[in-house]
Order: sequence, then C-alpha cells, then structure tokens
Amino acid sequence: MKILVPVKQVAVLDEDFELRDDGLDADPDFIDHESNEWDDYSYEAALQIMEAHGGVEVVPMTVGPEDAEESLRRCLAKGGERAIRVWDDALTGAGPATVAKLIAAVARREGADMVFAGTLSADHSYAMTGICVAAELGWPHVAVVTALEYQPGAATATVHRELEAGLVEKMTVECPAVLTIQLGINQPRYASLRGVKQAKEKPVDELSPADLGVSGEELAASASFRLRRMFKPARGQAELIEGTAAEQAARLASIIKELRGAA
Amino acid sequence: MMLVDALARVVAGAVQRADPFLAAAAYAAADEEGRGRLEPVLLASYRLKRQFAEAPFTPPAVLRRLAGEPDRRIRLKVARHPAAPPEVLRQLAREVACVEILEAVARHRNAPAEVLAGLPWREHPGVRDALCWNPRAPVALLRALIGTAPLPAQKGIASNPNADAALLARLWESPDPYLRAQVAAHPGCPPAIMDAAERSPEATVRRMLAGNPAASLQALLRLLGDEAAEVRAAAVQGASVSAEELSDLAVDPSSQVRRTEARRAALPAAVVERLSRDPDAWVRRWLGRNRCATEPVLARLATDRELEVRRAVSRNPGCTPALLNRLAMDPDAWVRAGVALRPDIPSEALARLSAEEDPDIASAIGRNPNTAREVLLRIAASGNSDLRRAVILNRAAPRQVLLTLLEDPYPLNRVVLAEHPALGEEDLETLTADPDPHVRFAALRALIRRGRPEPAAATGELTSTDNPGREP
Amino acid sequence: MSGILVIAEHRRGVLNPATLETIAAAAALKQVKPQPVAVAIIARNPDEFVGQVNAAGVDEIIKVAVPTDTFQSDVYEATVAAVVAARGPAVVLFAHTVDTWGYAAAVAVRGGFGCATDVFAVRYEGDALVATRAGYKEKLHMDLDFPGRQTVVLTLRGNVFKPIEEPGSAAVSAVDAPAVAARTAHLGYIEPDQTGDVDIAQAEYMLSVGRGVGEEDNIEQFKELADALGFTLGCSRPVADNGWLPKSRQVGQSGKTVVSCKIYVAMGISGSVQHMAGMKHVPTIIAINKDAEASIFSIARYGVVGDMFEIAKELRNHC
Repeated sequence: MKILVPVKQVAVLDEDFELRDDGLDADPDFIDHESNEWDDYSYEAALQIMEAHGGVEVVPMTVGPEDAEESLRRCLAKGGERAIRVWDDALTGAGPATVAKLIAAVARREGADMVFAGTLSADHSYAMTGICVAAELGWPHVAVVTALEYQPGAATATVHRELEAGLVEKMTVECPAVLTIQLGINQPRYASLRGVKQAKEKPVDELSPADLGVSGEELAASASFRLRRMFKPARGQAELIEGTAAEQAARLASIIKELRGAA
Repeated sequence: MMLVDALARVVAGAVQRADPFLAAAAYAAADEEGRGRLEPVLLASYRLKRQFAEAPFTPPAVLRRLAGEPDRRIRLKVARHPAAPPEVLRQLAREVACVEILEAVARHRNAPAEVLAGLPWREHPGVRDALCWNPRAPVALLRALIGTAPLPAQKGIASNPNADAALLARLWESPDPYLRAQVAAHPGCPPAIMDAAERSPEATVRRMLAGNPAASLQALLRLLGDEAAEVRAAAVQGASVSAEELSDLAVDPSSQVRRTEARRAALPAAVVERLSRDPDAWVRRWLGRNRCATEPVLARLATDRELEVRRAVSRNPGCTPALLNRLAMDPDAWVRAGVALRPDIPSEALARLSAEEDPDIASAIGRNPNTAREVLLRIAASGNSDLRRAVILNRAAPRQVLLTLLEDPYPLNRVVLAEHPALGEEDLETLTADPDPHVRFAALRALIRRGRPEPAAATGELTSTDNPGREP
Repeated sequence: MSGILVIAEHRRGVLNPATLETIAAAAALKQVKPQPVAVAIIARNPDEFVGQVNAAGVDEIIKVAVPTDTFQSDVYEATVAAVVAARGPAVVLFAHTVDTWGYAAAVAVRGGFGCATDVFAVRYEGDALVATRAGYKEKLHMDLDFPGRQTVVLTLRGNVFKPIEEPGSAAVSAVDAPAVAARTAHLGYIEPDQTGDVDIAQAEYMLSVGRGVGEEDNIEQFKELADALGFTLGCSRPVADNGWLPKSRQVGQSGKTVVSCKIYVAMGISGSVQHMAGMKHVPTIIAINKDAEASIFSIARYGVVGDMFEIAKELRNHC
C-alpha cells in the first residue's frame, strides 16, 4: 500500500520586486522559496495513515530543480524512507497540467494506491494540479478535503469537503483516488532533530521525464495555457487608509460594512 | 576564558561552513579583521543582502554595513528598517538622488530631529508630508511645513505631539471636521479653541475634546451631561473628574458610558457598589479587573454567572489568597487558568492546578515561577509545543528541565530557548549547530551577550523574519 | 468551434449567484465578438433553474437531466464533455468555486482543452482569447493565451463580473446526459456551527490582536470591540503565550488556521512567519499597525498605519 504525496517548493516574491527583462516572470533576485503550506497538511494526512496501519509506504515527490530537494528532505525528516524528484531544464516554467502529467507518470511507475496533493499552491493558486493528476490517471477524486477516514486497502474512503459559507459535505470516494487536502485537516508535525539528520541520508531518486516515458512532445502538448506576459497591476494590492484615527476608523467601518454586505 | 574560545570557534565555524546566520550574529561582536572574514559569507548574494536588510532581527552593525551597499534598493530597505540606528539614517539622509530613501528617513522614528529638519522637503512633497506625521519633527520644522502642507499632511501636524498652540489655532480654521477634531484632542490645544470645541455641533469634535487629557474639569463636567453617549463615555474617563463628582452622577442610561466608568481609576465605593450590580456583563467584567474593586465586591463578582467576570476577578491584583483558592475550584477552566497565571498563587491552589491537563491551565502552570521541578518536567515532556514553550518562557525554570528541550521539534521553541538565562554556555554552543538557521543565530547572539554586560545586538523579534530556511 | 458555454452551478435547489456573473462575462465577450451564448443546467430537475439563468444575452438554455441532486465529479465531467461535444463551444465558462476546483481542470485534461483558473479578465487580441489572472499572491498579473486549442475552459473569480438583471429570451433545449457510474457518493451535509464564536477555524470574520496590545487588561477592549462588530477574537502567539487569551484563539503555526475566514482584521500584529502561516490566505486582510514597515502590510488588502488603541476606540463608535 503506497501513498504518493506530490509537494511543491513555492515562490515568495519580495515587496519591491522587479520583472525579468523578458517580462515573463519576476527577477529571480526577488524570489525566495519555501515549502507550500498545503503540502504540510497533505503529507501529515499520509503519515498519520502510515503510522496507524502496518504496511503503508509514504513517498513524497516533487517536480522541480535541485533546490526543490529541500522540500523533499523536509518531508523525509518527518517520516517516509525515500523521495522522488523529477526534473529536466526544459520543465522551467511548466504549468500545472504538465506537472500533473509527470506526477501521474510517477504514480503509475510506483504503483501508488492513493495520491494526496495540496488543494492549491501558495504562489500561483491554480488549484489544478491534483485534479489534473486524477484526470491523467482516470482516478476518482475529491478536492478541498477537510476530514479523511481511510483504511488501507479499503474500497472507499470517507471524506469531508468544505463548501461555501462553512457548509461541509460528507461523502465517500472509491479508491484508488486523488484527494486534494485543505489547510486545517490536521495539525502538521515538526520534524525532530534526529529526523532532520536522518533525512539527509535518505535516498531521493532523480528522474527525467524520459525516464518516466514522457516525451518532450507530450509535455509540450500538455500545457493548458501559454504565458504571454506578467505585469504589475496598475493599482497595488494594498490600499493605505489615511487621515486621523477617527477618519481611518470611519473608513474602516464602511469597508467592513460593505464587504459583509457583499459576502 | 571559555567564552572567548567558544566565540572564536563559532566564528571560525561560521566562516568555514559559510553560514550567513551565524555570520550575522558574529558580525556585531567581531573586530575589524573578523568582520572582513565574515562579510563574504554574510553578503554572498543579492538575496542574502535583501533578506538581512529586511529581517527584524538584523543587528544594527549589519544594517550599518548594508547602508554602504552600492545597490540603492538595499540602502532603501535599510532606511525602512525599524531598527535602523540614528547615525545610519543621518548618512542615508544625504542620498538626495533617491526620493524614496529620503521619504523613508522622513518617516523614521529613529531619525534625529536635526536630520529631519535638514531633509530637502521643499523639493519633495512626499518628504514634506511624511515629516508632518513624524513625532520627532521639531516645532520649528512643523511651522515651516504648514505653509505648503496639504490637508492630509495638516492632519499629521494636528496629531503631532510637537505642534504648539499657534499651529493648532491655525489648523482649527480648517473646514475639515476630522482635522478640527484632531486639534480638539491635542494636549497643546489653546483654551479658547477648547471652549469653541465644547460648543461644536459635531459630536466627534466634542468627543475628542472630552478625551483630551488637558481638558478642564469644568468642561468635562459639562460634557458628562452631553446628549451623545460617546461624548459622555469619553468624559467619564477624564482623570481630573474626582471621585466625589462621579458619585454625584446619576446612573447613565448608556451601557457604553457605564462600561467606561467601570474601567476608570479612583472610583468611590458607592460607585463600585452600584456598578458591581450592573445588568450589563461588560460593566461587571471591567469592574472585576479594576483595582478600586473592594474585597467584598470581588468576592461577589467571583460568583458571577458570567465566566469572563469571574476570570476578571482571578486577574485582579487585589484578589485575596482565600478568593484565589476558591477560584481555583471554579467550574470553568479559563477562570482556573487565570489563577494559575499568578505569581502570588497560594500553595493550595498551585498544588491543585498543577495536576490539571487543560492546555490554558497547564501553560500557565508551566510559566509560573512557583511551579515544582517535577511538574515542569512533566509539562516539558508534553506533546503540545505551546505547553513546552511555556516552560521555556519560565525564567525560573532550572537548567536540568531546559536540557530536555534542547531538541524540541518545534524550531521556534528552540529559538526562544536560546534566550533563557539558565542555559549554560555549552548548551548555547550546542544550539549554534542547530539545523534551523534562526536557532543558530539566536544561540550565538545569546552567547555574545553573555560576554558583554551591555547588549549591543538588536532585540528584534527573531521569529518575524521572512524565512530563508524554515527547516533545512 | 465557436460560441460560449456557461455551466450553471447550484446546491440544494439554490442557484449559485456566481452563475449570473459567469453569464455576464459571456455576454461581455459576445459583445466584442458576436457568437452564441448557451447556459447548461446539469441537475436532477433542470427546469427549476431555467427562469433564473434566462438573462439578457443568453441564446440557449440547455437542460441536462442527471440522476443526482448533489455534485458528483464523475457525472459532471462526463456531462460537460457531452454538452461540449454536442455544441462545440470555443469557450466554456465556470465560476471559480469549490465544485469547479474539483472538476473543471479534469474536463480540460480529458477533452484536450486549454484551461485557466481564477480568471478575472477575458478579452480577444485579434482572434486569440486572452485570460488574465493573478500570481505571486496578487503581486503580479499574468496574461495567458491558448494557442492550438479548439476549446478553452476558464473558471472566473467571483465578485468581478456584474450580474445582468435584465431578463432574456433564450431558446430552451435539452441534451441527454451520458450514463456514468459515479465513483463518489453523497452521505450528507453538515451545517456550520452557529452556536459559539470560539472555533476560530470556522469563523468568517475575525479580529486578532498581537504583541502591540501591551498588557493583559488591554485585551478586554478589543474583545468588546470584536463582540460589538460581530467578529471572533483571535490572537497571535505572544498573546496566547502570556495566557491573556485561550490557546484556542491562537492563529498560526502551532495554533489554528483560519480556514473559513473572509475578513481578518489584524491589530498590533507585526506579521511573523508563524502568524501569517495561519491567515495569509484570507481574501480580505485589514492590517492596523503603528509601524509602516511591519510585514503584515505585505499581505494586507487594506492598511492602516496608526495606533491600534485609538483606532479601536474610534471604531467602537461605529458599531
């Protein structure tokens, strides 16, 4: 019984960033990387199943360059014995559907029984990758899972799905399945110092798309969009409310009222 | 001496391991030669310079070094850094070619008055407007600025503690009600304007006057009878209104006014008594925390049906040991946690609460300087990282207990642990080899401080940085 | 391939109002490039919704009767694919919702369609459809196009396109749903807990205080403000560490993630990594801090540089 957990190293853009000369991305000088928050929860969900039952293997994987290995080591420090990193420089800038094709190829190669992905990634928030993996595999799938009951080997898993306005749906899904895991489903653990040390010795298999039997043409054809350009929005995201405290409070009160009216 | 050896070892290690976080901590303590060796590690890339120029924990010495970076964007971040020292801002104020840097200096609370006065505000409206809001801008500068300051910046002058009566009188002429209200709130507001503000048709202006610590007693007494509850609530807080005058007040129909009354100091006994029986729970809740509340009143509030009223009593410094022992048996854990937090907790209550597992109580017991060592050891072994941190935050926790936490899985706990005075130098040295860069930084910073009675490093919050390596 | 297909969304007999925004986006595209707009209603009884989606600009309403009242991704995927096969639209529009997160991308992968999610502007440049969405937490916008794709699936951000109020005169037709065995099964709904304000993971409106609050007694006025506003009070780690508020109110790492929050007012919170981990996803963050450079402003939609006590006192007068 094997659970594959695709994780991602996400980009965090500095406040005062500049664009790259080709206008297709931010200048890498202004980009920091960190592990995607949602993946802490999906990995924890997998580890909890592994710990509660015998014979379960959890394998973290990522599609990313050498730097992205850090997010795999971070997983291995909490549990799991090996990880998989898929990369080829041609994948630079690959979109969610392309990444999903490679994750699906790994799932097949590994004979995974379940795939737990994060609901979305904190940088570009496509919320597509996990569902595209399911489509590639032809597996049933549920997005935005906030509770999970699963006995390894069982024909179905029972999940909660978070809907609008706090409403929750309880449902079952046939296995094998792809679940996209939402924040708050559990309390992700921190790695012990011993775990951090041990993780350095654990193997990370490096695979290319070719190793997975995915050709360059297939990768190119899988892109669900082409990026034309990136640009800074005309108005920044933040609005600074100015004036005296009384004036700022009056404006805040009207903003809150308006937003609650719309919600 | 061991400390010197330890420092030298760690600095050599920082250089050898190319560890920018250890280098940043070591930089503050290093001599010229040491700094020369650390700089290639500390400033190895643009990204590192950017991260240190932004990080709240960056030592002033590193900021000083970064202020000399040729890259303007780095210098701008230093100018915006809340811990930028005055002399760095003085240097950055000479950057006449970069308006953003000048604006950042003009806004900065660490900028000395003469640096602010010397900024080229006539050429740059953004610099001028920022200066109007800076509480360190001297009155002579404010007088010059007001000539061309637009309305939003005028509000800055009206909020500025250095504004004098003449400036405020001039601003009072404005038709803008918010600006006038701000003038009425200013402690330097001239009496004639206070009189006018008291008669203002705008409740906001009268309310601001009622909240002005310089408002006259007569004005406050009149405002206590104002038709608007918000004005009466502001007036009832006025310190110059005496106990006797409050006793004379009728029961205000507005709960907002009574709530404010229950918060103020020097309440006469009759008023305390009246408020303690108020139907509004918030009035009783405020009174429960009030130091004027007498023992019998506290005893009655300790049996209030609202748990937050009982909690308020548990936090009142005037609460007697007998009452604390009773509250330690309250049915609600949040009330008992209030007792568990008290440094003056009676031993009976301490014994009772030490056995509890509720996280708020266990955390309070973990922080309490009176807690027994074996209880601390048990809490330190908890699976809940918040509870383990409570022990780490307990300044009275002995080293033997803390040693069990050197490998706490939550990195933030190890960062906080590095600040604990009971750790030995060898323990800190262990932490300088931690996998988490913030732990290594905190540990070396603490080691360095041990060697210097006068702490030279920043006390910035280490945990609020952008996160160049949360975990390796 | 031509025309625009809108997929209506509903739950428990109620049309998701975002459907009308999606129709408005379709009608706007039709204005610049004349083409038919069809709305598909996938439901056990599609007739229920026909009147509601018959807005000006809609040419055809396609009823697709399916044997389920609840969202089942297998059924919806196959059914949308069948409608696309029957009508051959160039663009398929969905609202960006929890349901469409669960299947729109799968429709695109299986049909070989182009796809972009959380789109807030759509236009034509020449013949090319260009969709705009945000990246890097809204700090950058990106223009996407779909070369070589006959059909493009887009999910549209809410509260962007203004619903059309004027009624339309669409023709009503039907497409047969394909027979699909759903591999998911609905067991029931769990209503949100309306009773208390304590579970911050479920709270929609939150006011949180941080280190800036200074001392314990000061907490009370923010609790009172939160009550008056109808917000749930939360806090950052230092406040809970001090025992000033219960651990159950701590937002962030080792505390809770405010999963359902829509408006988050952060007062006196500088924005440590640990705190932001629990709330940076909230759509509207309002930050109040006396330090203009506090990190919390980097994720805020509205920023107030000022004294949290003064702002709170003033805000109290607006409740």
